[in-house]
Amino acid sequence: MLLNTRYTPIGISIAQSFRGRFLRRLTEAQLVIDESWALAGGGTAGFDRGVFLGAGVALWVAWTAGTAVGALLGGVIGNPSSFGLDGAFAALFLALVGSQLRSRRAFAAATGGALIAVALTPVAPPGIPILAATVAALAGWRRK
Amino acid sequence: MSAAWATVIAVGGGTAVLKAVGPVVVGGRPLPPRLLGLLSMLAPALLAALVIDEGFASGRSLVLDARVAGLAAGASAVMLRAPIWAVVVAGAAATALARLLF
Repeated sequence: MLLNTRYTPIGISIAQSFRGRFLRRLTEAQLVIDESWALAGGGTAGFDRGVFLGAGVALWVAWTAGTAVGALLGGVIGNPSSFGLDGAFAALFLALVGSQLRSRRAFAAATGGALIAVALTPVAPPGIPILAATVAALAGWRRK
Repeated sequence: MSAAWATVIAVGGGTAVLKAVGPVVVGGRPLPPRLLGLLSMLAPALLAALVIDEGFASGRSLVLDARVAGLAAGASAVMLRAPIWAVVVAGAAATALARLLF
């Protein structure tokens, strides 16, 4: 739950792109996850609403289907880490962060986020390091 | 209803609210440029932390395990300008292979 509080600033960062009535915004907001947000260029001027909605729906379907398969066949297919699933997520986030490093400021923010995660992982409960890393956005922020 | 299900429902509902705050409250209106500047730096900060968490964290310790191979393969794929699905597949394959070998 604490881990998911990061979705509030993430949601605000793309709030401009949401249109329509209350219920439609509420529904589309549920498609916000790290991957759909980052793939669509979240927080940048070039945020692509189509990519966001497409990725959000695709990820939701895949996640739900994957959960069902796991629940039904979990005993048969064995431990997912033997397929390298954890390494796949690490590689995905690496690719996404790579696509963000277009400026010195972004580089500073990424470095700060990584350092905060490294520093807090041994001492804080899971989820807190990720949440605290949002503070590193300040490192790349230049007052105008 | 068991305590586990109550927790699942509470966390799910809470997360839905957290996600909805931005789009429902701010939705459609432009944000001040200074705030947008700050928010555009959220992606690199958060994603870099997720790389550390997914790549090196094991509970509360930081470890070097088979996922390092996945990250290396993923980084190579990124540098070869591979599409994102290929980066993910490379990461999974290298991690699985390293786990099999060591």
